[in-house]
Amino acid sequence: MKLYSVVVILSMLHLPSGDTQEDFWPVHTACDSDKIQVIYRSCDPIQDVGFSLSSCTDIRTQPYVKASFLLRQSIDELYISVVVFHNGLNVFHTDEPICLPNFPRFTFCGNRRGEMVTIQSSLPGLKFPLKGSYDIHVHGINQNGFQIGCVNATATFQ
Amino acid sequence: MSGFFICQECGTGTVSAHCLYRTRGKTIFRFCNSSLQIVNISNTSPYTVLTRRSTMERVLYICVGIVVYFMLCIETIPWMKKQCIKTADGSDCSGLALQLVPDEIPDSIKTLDFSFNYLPTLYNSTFQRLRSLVSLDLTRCSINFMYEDVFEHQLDLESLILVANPLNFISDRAFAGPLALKHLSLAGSTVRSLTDVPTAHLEFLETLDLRGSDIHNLDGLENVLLQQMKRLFLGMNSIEKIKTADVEKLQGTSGLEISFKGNDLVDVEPNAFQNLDMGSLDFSGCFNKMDISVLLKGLEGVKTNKLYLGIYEDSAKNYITQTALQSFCNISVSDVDFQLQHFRDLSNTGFRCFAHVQKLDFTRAHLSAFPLSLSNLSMLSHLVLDDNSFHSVCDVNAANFPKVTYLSVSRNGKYLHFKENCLEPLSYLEELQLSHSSLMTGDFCCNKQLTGLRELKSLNLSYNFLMNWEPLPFNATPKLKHLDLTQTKYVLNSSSPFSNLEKLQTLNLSFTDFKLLENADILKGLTKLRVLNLKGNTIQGGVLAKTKNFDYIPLLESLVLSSCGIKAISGNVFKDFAYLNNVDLSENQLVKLRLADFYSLNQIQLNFAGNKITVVDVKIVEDLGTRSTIDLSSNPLACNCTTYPFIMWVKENFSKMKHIERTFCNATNEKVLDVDLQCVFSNRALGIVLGLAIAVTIIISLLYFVKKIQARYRSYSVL
Repeated sequence: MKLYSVVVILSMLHLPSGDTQEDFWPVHTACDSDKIQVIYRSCDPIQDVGFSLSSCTDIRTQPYVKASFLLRQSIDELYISVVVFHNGLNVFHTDEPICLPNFPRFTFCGNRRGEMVTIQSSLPGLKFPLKGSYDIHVHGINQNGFQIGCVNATATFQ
Repeated sequence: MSGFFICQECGTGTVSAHCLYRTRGKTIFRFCNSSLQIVNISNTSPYTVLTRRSTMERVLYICVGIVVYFMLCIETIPWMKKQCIKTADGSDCSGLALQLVPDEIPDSIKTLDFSFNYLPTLYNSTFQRLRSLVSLDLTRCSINFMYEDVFEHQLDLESLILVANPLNFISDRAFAGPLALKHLSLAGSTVRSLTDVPTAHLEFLETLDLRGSDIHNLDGLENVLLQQMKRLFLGMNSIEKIKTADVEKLQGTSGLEISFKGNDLVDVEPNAFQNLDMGSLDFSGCFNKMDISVLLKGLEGVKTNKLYLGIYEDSAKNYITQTALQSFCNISVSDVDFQLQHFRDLSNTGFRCFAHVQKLDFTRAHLSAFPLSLSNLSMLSHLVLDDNSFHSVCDVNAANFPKVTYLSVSRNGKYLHFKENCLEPLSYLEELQLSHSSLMTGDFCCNKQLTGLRELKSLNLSYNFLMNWEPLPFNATPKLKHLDLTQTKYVLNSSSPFSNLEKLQTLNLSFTDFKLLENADILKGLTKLRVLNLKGNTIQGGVLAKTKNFDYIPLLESLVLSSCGIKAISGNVFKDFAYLNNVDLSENQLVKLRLADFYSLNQIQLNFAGNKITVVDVKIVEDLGTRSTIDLSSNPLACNCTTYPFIMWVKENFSKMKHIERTFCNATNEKVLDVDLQCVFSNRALGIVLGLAIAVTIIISLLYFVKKIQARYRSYSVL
């Protein structure tokens, strides 16, 4: 009866195992210094994104940011949503149209699927010193409501 | 039994929970997480099996295991197929890591989306059997080599998309054959020169997209200026100089649209575009290294319908001087775009040369006022002043452009005071856009503010502050056809504020605290209304009941009641809407799907997305006509053998299902379209297995019986 039991038990064990697993993209480090750490992870089911800050120590002056992602659909329209949590509290939320049919704000507006969007720019420096940990959730959708990108980041200021 | 039992480890992800796993026509029984070895019984003769009791026992146990397994599987174990999806006239095979066109794709398809796959080489044989193709998308397929006559067999191919492929080699005969290609996209495909595009066989080409291809100059422009060419995209390349000798090759073309968007121009020769007759010229974002006046000098003498001279937020700041604008005296253009530009000393003389311009776009052009008295904008019909910082609507000085039919002052950067009579000179105005402008309408709205706009047909006041409405707030604009009040709240001073708007066809009252059931006469007078949007207005009590309001709008075709907190719908609410063809009830709390309340299901688009519908009776959806669709995405749909008929209906009628890619089974989070419940097949398989198990048991019993008899005989023989 040993073998019989093994077959039955294993058959039953197998059942719930399949759908509880989810694929997660790896956690990336965009910046790591003694003052600031920025880590991020793509929350898009299809693809990862690239993001880096040129110099962590300069973040209070004018950090140079580089971000890159692949388009799975065109972006004749692009809307992004940014939510910032500080110690679990929602401290900032904005929904911003980035590309509108009559107002393409950036050169990448109108790019087609398959093309890469690469953003290289200096960010305005932080006006006041930040302390603690900030969780940032950014996601963008296009004219069809299709998710173009999704990122969860954590910035920790010492 | 032919074949074998195979036991292998579960893969991660979705295929693990499957009863059956089919591959290339064979059926194999798959056990996951099992340590059993492969038991191949196909080479073992039945006689040998029967004579080995221990083997028999094993087989018996395995059979019992299968029985138990199937019993557990029957209800809820769908498995996901990764395969091409059938579309209206073709197939979508994108993102499947395919290396060849799958055999199951029918020869007769017209469109094939093969993007995000892997096809490093394109041969004559790659698409040979797909002879009816009209559109082929090969975006990001890692194509390195394109050999000769690739599309020789595709006589009808009109659109070919080769975006983002590292095309290291394109044969000069790549597009040879009787091909009649109209649209070719090579964006981001590392075509380094216009001479590298093998255009010899593309005489019917209308659109050529070479954006982001690392092109440095216009050498070989004549190579791509084909007879039928209408649009040429050269944006996001590295073109620095535009020489008269290059542009001269455009002589003889008419109505051509060329985009140089995002090239960092350094020099444009004066009068380079002289005597050209263009449809559109896009130089947006080209001024990082060069002053716009250089380009305008180069454009002197050109005739073009559209001219894009704006910049982007990721471009360098640029200033346009009055002197530079004088070049427009020698440019014949009807539509100019200056988005995001800065103007120095914008005054009357600056627009001296805009007498023939019909459309002007100053979106975010850092304006706080328009010059006071311009006499030269008499031809202007469209004026866009969005994203600027006007203090009052009066600051646009409407008297400057009396013939304007379209005016937009949306997304104003500060509070925009909508004062009396500011727009009175605009007696031809047909469309007025004032959304997202923090509109301050004073004590009462809106007759004094809209005075003089007798011809106004479309008014957008959405996303603004609370307005105190007069009893008939739109009495000054009786010809209004479209009114958008999204997110703009109001104080009512009469029970029927729209009663004079007999011509109104579209009314958007979403998120306005509109009370459909309480204010029973609010829609009175809207006898021609065809589209009504009431999204985000909570229906009190959660039950949508019949209201007098619906009797006032008998011609309604489209009704949006999404996010209204509707839990149930009373009978016959929609029964009187004979023309209703679009109903959005998404993002409510409906548990049950009822379609009997509609006048007709022959041609209707129904949206029930984001509700709480779990079980759909197939009899309800079967009544949907061939031109009707239903959206059931984001509902907690049950996918088991109880809902099997509905799932089968979805598979057979997927064209009637909107957002099928977001229509998931609640328990397994798999697309309903991909679910393979195998309810019928599983039961048959169970029958076979049970039958086998019984047969084996009987054989073993017989064997046992025979052995016992043999034992008895042996004892007799000893005697």
